[in-house]
Amino acid sequence: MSHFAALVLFAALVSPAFACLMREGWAARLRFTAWAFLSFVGFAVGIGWIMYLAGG
Amino acid sequence: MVEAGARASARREPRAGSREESNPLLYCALGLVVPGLGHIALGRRGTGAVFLVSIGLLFVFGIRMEGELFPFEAAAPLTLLAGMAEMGAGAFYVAARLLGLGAGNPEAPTYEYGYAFLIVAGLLNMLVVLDAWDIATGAKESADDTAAAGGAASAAR
Repeated sequence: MSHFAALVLFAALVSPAFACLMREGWAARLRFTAWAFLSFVGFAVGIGWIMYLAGG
Repeated sequence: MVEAGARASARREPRAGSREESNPLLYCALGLVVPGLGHIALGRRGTGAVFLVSIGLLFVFGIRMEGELFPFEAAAPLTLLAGMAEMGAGAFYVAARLLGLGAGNPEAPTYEYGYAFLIVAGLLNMLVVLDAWDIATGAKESADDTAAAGGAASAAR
């Protein structure tokens, strides 16, 4: 399993659980799940690029 | 100010004839044994199912990635904390221990991911247990409660 696949899997499993903890109503939870998932992946990729560029 | 205080005290007091009269510790214990079971017992089946599947899959993938179930070593505080966090997964942790899984393989490329998944599964379930406590004590209103309260208020008008 690649690092990116592990990251996506982690984000996909954790996001709905956080949504159920932090939001009420399934529509709000669905929106929060999508937002959390994209944030996990986006921030990880962004920080990865920063480390790559800073280290390169 | 006074209204806010009254609302806060009303939130803390269990409503007569509601599930808040039963022991919140029971729901916490159920949730600690099986992730999501506390919420299911509180009547939030969908939410409980999401927790069960999310935490269960996190734990299973953690084991599949050759993550380690850490031993309880008082001499190594971080290892001790990691082991305690993993224990939060309840039945999944016990089942893995009984089946002899979670030995961990530090040479596997996914080892670090594996134990991170296992630790997060346990910690996430601890948050879920605290959420069950909040619901059982009435500190957190469900969407259904809010809708019912709104309906009752509009009916009273």
